[in-house]
Amino acid sequence: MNVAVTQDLSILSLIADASVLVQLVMLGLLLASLVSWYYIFRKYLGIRRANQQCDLFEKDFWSGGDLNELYQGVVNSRHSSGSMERIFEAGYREFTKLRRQPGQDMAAVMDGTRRAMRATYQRELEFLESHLSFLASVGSVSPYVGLFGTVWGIMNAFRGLANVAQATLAQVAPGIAEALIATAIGLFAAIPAVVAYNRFAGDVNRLATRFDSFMEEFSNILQRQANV
Amino acid sequence: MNPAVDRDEPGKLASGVLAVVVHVAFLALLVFGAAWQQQPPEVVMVDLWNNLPPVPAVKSPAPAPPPPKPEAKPPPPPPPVAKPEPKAMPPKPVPEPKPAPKPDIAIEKEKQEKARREREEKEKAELKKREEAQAEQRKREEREKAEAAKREAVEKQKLAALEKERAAKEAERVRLEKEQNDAAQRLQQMQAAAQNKEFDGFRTKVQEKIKRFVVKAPCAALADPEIVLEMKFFPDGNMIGEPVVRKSSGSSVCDDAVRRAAILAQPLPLPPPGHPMLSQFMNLNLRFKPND
Repeated sequence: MNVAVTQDLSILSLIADASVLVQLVMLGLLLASLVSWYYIFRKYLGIRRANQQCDLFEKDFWSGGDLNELYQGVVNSRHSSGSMERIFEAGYREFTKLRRQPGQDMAAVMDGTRRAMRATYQRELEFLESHLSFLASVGSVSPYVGLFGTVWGIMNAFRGLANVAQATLAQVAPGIAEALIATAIGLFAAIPAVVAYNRFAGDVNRLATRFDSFMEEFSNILQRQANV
Repeated sequence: MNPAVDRDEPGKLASGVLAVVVHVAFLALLVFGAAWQQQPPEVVMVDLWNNLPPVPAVKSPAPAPPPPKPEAKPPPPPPPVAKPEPKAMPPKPVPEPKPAPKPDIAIEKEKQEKARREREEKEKAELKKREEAQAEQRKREEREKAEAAKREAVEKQKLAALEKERAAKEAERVRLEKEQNDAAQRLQQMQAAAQNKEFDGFRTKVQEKIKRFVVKAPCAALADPEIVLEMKFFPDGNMIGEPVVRKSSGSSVCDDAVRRAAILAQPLPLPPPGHPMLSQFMNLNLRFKPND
C-alpha cells in the first residue's frame, strides 16, 4: 500500500517508464503538435498580413487615383504585394491587352478580364488555404492516435497483472497513468489544431468574399472605362 | 508566369520559434505545476506505550459514610417481675387500746411467735407451689420431647418417600436419555452410512475415470493387483503434485501404469465446490484394482 503513495508519478518518469510503442506514439504526437503549432502561427501571421494588405489596397483603390498609376505601383512592388493587388494586376493587364487588339467587342474583353481575375483569385485562395488541411487532420486524428497508445499501455498494464496472484490497484495504477499520458498528448495536439482550423477557415472565407466583391466592382469600373 | 510561386509568406522563423516556445512552456507547466504526489507522505511520530500512563487520580469524592445507624437498642428487658416470694408484709400490729396494762413482753412475744409461724407456713406453701410448678414443667417438657420424636419420625418417613420418588424420576430420566441417545446414534449411523454411500459414489467415479486411462497390459500378468495411491487435489479436480504409490501391487511397471493413468485422468470428478464431502477428497487415499 505504501508503494502506491511513494511511487514517482511525475510526468517525466511516467513518460520514461512507458513501453516503447507508447513512447513512439507520444513522440509522433509531439511532432504533430509541434508542426501544427508552427502552421498555426504561420497561418495566423499570413492571414493577418493578407487582411492588412487588403485594407491598404482597398483604401488606395477607392481613393480615386488613376488606374494606370495604381497598376504601375503594384507591378513594381510585386514581391510584397497582397492577394487583392495581384487580382487587380491580373485583371487590369488582361483588360489593357484585350483592349489594344482591334475588333474586340466589349463583352469579350470583359469576359477575358473576368477569367484572368478568377484564375488569380483561385490561386490566391489556394495559397491562403494551404496547410489548413494539415491542421484539420491533426485535429481529427491525433485523439485517436493518443487513444491507441493508451489502449496499448493499459493492455500492457493488465498483462503484467496476470502474473500476480493478488491484484491491487497499486499494481495497475502506474501503468494506466502512463498510458493515459498518450491520450493527454493527443488531446493537447488536437484541441488547438481544431480551434485554429475553424478560425482560419472562417478568415479565409471572409477574404474570399472580399475578393469576390472587389472583382465585381472592378469589372464594373473597367466596363465603364471601356465604354468611355 | 505564376505569381504565386515566388511569394514569401511572412514569419516562417517566428512561427517555428513560437511553436517551440509554446511546447516548452506547456511541458514546464506540466512538470513543475502538476506535481502529483511527489512529496512522500509526512512522517508521523508514534510513541508506543507499554501501559497507559497513570491517570492523575481524579479524587472522586469518597462515598459519604452511611449515617450512623440509629442504634435501636432494645429497651432493657424488664426485670423479672414475678418474684416467687412476694414479701408479704406482716400485718402491722394494730395497737389495741388495752385497758389492762398487760406485760408487754408476753404480748410482744406472742405476737412475734404468731408472725413467725405465719411466715413459715407461707414459705412452706410457696415451696410446695414451686415444686408443683417444676413438676408441671418437667411433664410438659417430656410431652414436647415425645411429640418432637413423633414429628421427626413422620418427617423421616416423608423424606424417604421423597427420596424414593426422586430416584424413580432419575431412573426414568436416565432411561429416556438412553433412548434418545440410542435414537441419535441410530440416526448418526444412518447418516454415516448415507455419507459413506455418497463418499463411495464419488470415489467410484474417480476410480472409473482413472480406469479409463489405465493401460491394462502391464498389470495383466498379476493375479489380483491392488494399488493404493495417495493424491492431493485442488478443488477443481486437478492434482497438487503427483500421486504417490502407498501400497504397491508388486510390480513397479503396473504401479507406474496406474500412476500415469491418474495423472492423465485429470481433472478428476470430485464433489462440486461447496459440497461438504469435498474436504475429504482433498487428500485422498485411493484403493485401486486395475484388473477388475
